[in-house]
Amino acid sequence: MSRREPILSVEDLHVWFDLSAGNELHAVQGVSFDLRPGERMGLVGESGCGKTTTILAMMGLLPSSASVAGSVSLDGENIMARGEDTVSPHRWKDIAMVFQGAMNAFNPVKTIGSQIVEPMELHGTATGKAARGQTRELLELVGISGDRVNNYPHEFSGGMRQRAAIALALACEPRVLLADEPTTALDVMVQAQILELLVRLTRDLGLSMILVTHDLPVVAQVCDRAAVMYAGEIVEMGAMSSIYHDPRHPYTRMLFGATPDLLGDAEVISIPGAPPRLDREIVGCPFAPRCDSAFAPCSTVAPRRIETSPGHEAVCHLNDHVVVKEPA
Amino acid sequence: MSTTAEPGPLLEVDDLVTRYPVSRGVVGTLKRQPRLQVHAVEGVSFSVAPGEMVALVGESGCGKTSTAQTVIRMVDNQGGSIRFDGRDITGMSAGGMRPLRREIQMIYQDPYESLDPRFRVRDTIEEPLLVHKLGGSSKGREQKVLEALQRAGLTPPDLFIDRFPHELSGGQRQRVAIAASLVLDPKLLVADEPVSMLDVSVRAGILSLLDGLRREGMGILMITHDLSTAAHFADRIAVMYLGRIVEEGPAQEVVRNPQHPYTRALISVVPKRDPNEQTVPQILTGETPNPVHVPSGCRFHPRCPVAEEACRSIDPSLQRPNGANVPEHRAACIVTAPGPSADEVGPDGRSAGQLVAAALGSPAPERSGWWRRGWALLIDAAVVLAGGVALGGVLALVPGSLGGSVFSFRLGIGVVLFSALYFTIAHGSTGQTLGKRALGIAVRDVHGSGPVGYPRAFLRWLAFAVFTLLAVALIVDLLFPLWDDRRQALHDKVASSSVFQVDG
Repeated sequence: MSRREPILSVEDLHVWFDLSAGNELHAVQGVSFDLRPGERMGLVGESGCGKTTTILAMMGLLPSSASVAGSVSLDGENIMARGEDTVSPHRWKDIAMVFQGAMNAFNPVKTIGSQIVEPMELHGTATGKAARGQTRELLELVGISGDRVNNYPHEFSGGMRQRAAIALALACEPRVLLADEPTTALDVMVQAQILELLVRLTRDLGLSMILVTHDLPVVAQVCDRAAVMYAGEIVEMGAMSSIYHDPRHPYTRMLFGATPDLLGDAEVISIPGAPPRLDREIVGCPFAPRCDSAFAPCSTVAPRRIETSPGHEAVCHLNDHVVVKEPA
Repeated sequence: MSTTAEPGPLLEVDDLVTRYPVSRGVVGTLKRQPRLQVHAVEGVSFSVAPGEMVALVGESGCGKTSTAQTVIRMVDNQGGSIRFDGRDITGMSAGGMRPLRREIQMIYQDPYESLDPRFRVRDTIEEPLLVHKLGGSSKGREQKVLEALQRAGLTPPDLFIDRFPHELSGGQRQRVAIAASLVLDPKLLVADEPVSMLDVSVRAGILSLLDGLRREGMGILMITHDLSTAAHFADRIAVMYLGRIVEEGPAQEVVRNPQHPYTRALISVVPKRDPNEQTVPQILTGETPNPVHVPSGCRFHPRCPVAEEACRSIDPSLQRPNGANVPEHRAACIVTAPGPSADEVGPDGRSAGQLVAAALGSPAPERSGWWRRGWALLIDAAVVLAGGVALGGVLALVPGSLGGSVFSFRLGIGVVLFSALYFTIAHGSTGQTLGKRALGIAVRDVHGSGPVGYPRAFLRWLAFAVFTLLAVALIVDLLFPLWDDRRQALHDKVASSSVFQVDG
């Protein structure tokens, strides 16, 4: 893995949502990671674990009921420093996003082309004829004939709309692409086409990508690195192969165990229980009630983040020699 | 591979056809545009036995859900038949279906949609009992509800019975939906993508629950787009493409030894868990065509990486491919999965010539249409003639009342007998099965497993050869003493003939 300077670095990101009656939901609880140029990182977890909230926070797109703390630095500059003022110049221009269900998010009464031109004109990267020309090129880039710029969304199939959504994200030549479940509603064959496209784009354009998904095998196929989220925090992060062959957090291991592998023989076992509620304070390890290797300190002491090997870290007492040695 | 229980299948679907009319609109009607139809299901046949889970796998628009909906008679079919528990339910009235609906239950994809948010768990599960007037008193019904919850894995049931759907997690909701169908003690469960809306961590639990029901003897038809899930939990997989089953067989066989190019592509694009084990995905271009305009010939040919000219015109039927390891494995492709038997073959005629060619190691000539049929006929005729003459020759030596002088008559009998033998063994189903069984067992004994590595055609050819040799040997053996006598008689006759008695 390259030791180049990170292009994007997220540090101690917290997001709270205001609930009624003065309650708060702590959706993201101190997420930190770096993203290097050209790197593809997977953000994996069950629904409600805060993965989408994390990247929406990075884009500054959370609703007003959310309060955010921490920093998101692009080339060392904290774009969260003054909220919308500092985020908006970078949004779409440096960091772009393919939204969850983006293929159904096109305005049905406007042509695909005009919707791709919109961010270009907004950010002033191209206007008029030049923007039209670029739109055609973008469509060709994602595998759609340039002649279809004037088509309406309903004239496209699901896979093509998803390609167009990617073209839209690439409109202002961003350096970081955040893809939120880009293949979830698609068929396997179309999913394979889109994943191949994303890999090709990151390789050819030197894009860095964060792929948010609940599907571990998709991350295994596409990403170099993976971060596994649980209950609002990254519980394990490292190179994909190291995470698969040597998972250091029981959640990661159990998640792999719950995922059927096409040619695997191992029994598929679901993880008992459900994730904890995030509107209450969690004591100890949030995964402890569902964990098959929990021991005494897990329910009382929050585990530390420990680097088990270079570039591979996990938040589990099992890796902590101090805790494991000490009979609680 | 579970040994199928002998009592007949629970569900038997034969050549099912379901089409939906496409609305032409007022303008279309006035302009007399042709009436179009969505060919959702076109000639699908399969069966589900008690205690068996069959997975219909395919991409969206392949007709798997339409098949399921037709099977449970939610949608009317335009052709074919559906038999449930031995009864033909194809044309049954709604009233006639009612008692059967108890026995066929459906589980839907989205438990967030399928449960009424105003109903407590108790009401949701009790409702089918009320509809079917079962369970007796309210006490009896509550008992049944508790039992169903227990069976669906919501334990302790008291904890869940008075909850509302919004108080349950996705997995628990799906368990409630399953409990609501279990309360009627169905024999067949049709599960349409039962886990695709659920989190990965709870999917396995729902699937294990279904697996447990299967073990108890329930037949399960699972509709899914997820090959990994199907491979893990189903006994058999049927892969659908554009309204047809293109490949079917035991789950592990289909996944590990796919024969149809579509199945092969589909399997290659399933992401594996191991990042180092990713295979090169064989990505098909484009998307599944519109089922209104189904391509001619093989419906997969426009996207097929190995399509040949013949694929444009020949619509392949399901048959046992040469590369199959088990007899139940069938695929519909004339290029990668040609099967050799004439009685299973639809428009694709392969026979002795190709069998011999396959046995010799050279690929059987893949030619289209009439050429192939003509060639097959020629080979068959040559074999029958040669064998028949040989047999007739042997028969000609038999002494008897038929009149030894009529040599050609006996030759004729030989040809008829031989061709009967030949066609029984090489083309008929009885001889074929017998021969194959015997050979299959023999090969399995030698290799320790199934006849891997040998093309099916070779085995069949071998069966044919062995049977013919056996038959000839038997006949010769039986006739040898007679033959000997005959020779003696001839010798005597010659010796005593007038030619040698000129002198005397």
